[in-house]
Amino acid sequence: MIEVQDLVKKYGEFTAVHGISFSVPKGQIIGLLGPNGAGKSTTMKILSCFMPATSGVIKVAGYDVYDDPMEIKKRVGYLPETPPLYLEMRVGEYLEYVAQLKQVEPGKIRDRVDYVAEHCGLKHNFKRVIGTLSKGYKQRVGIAQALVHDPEVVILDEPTVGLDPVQIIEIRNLIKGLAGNHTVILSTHILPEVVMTCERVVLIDKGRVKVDDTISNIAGGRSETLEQAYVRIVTSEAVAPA
Amino acid sequence: MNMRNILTIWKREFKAYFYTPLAWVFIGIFTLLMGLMFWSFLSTYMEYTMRSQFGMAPSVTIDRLAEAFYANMHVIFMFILPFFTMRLFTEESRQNTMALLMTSPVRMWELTIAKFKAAASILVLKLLVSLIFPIFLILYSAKGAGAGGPDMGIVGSTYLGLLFAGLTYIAFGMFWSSITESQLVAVVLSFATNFSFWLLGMWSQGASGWLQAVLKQLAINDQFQSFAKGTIELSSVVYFVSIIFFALFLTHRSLESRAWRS
Repeated sequence: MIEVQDLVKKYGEFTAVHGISFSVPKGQIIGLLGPNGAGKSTTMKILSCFMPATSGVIKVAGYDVYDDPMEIKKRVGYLPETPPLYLEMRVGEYLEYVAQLKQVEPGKIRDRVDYVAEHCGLKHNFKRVIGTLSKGYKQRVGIAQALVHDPEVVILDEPTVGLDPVQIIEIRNLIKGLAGNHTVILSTHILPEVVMTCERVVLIDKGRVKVDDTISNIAGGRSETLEQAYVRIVTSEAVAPA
Repeated sequence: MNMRNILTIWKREFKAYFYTPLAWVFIGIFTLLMGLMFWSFLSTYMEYTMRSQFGMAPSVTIDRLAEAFYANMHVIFMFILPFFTMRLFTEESRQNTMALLMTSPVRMWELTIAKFKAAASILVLKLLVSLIFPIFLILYSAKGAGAGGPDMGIVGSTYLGLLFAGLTYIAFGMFWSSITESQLVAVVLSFATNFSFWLLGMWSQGASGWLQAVLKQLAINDQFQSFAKGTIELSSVVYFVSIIFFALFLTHRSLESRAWRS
């Protein structure tokens, strides 16, 4: 469903991503891990056709990001780090607008909007102005807009930031429920979250893939937690001799 | 080009003008200013008409009154329209909603046209509100107080000129809004551009030869004046249409380059 080969992204002189490669089969949920500035958000922006890569072959939902960005955009739901919300709009009105933008068939818009509002816990705030919502609810609206067109691929950049513990559990269950029909990439700093929601982990650091494996393989063999494994992998470069 | 996309974005943008008091305030201020001006022009006109009956002043036609009135309306447009275009793209950047638009199956041309249409709709709304003034003149002269109503042909061509000039200011303003993330910077640069195109007419007087001809052709006020005098010249129409398209083209380029700059 997602294929990335030798993805390189340069911002002027600075290289944010140094030729990473990974692939995600249909229906899988993977966690993109790594320290701040590792290139997670950049990779996600490129996959969602928000910005072009400097080089590399990237295919999403069977389409190439250079040749058919419009086809990819129809099939991808993307939640950036800052949710893209029109603060002066009402929740329902906003979700309807996003559904129209994503070219959901006019007859199905109502159902889709109701469905995501229900599943993201927004039913009671349906008529509220987005600007008056708390941070956690704004985040939920952000997740809802990424799902409203029932996309094949869902890309979530730190989806549970700003949520309270109960909301986190709800959103986690929501994301887990996407497995099978949807291919999901999510980034997070909360490691237990990865253990609970993702089947596989791609760990990047300084723009390079460090680990690409199932969670049980990463931690299992060494009888350590994912947290210990993460610290070991991220700090290993400084310790290990070149 | 996908018409449904344009319609969707246009509807949201038009509504967005009324989410905040901005549109109400500016349409209110605009109508108030125009009303005060109309009143003062009309009293001057009546004074002149009265005095001319006794041969104490040259007679003034009601068309002359309308011409002066609409010339002022044009100046007000130049200053007021940047406030209607400043938010068009700066807000999308600030709220990060540009990310939504850029990851939706929307072409940047569709976005440009939709936003332009939304601002143009506000302009048309203002022009419609301002129709109250010629309507008043017609009713007023029908009661026999004036020397015949205004020439409807001239009023019509003046409105067409106002529409073209207004659309030009909107296109300039939209371009600056796509360049910067600051509303203030967008407003200031829009003023500067509008005013420069205005000043070209004055600069042309200082120039000579071909330069004078070119500057005079580019001067927005000179082009508007030909409409205000009741003539619809093809060259003026071509002038406005091409300058508007050029500004829209630049806006589109600026939006396309965003992905590469980010």
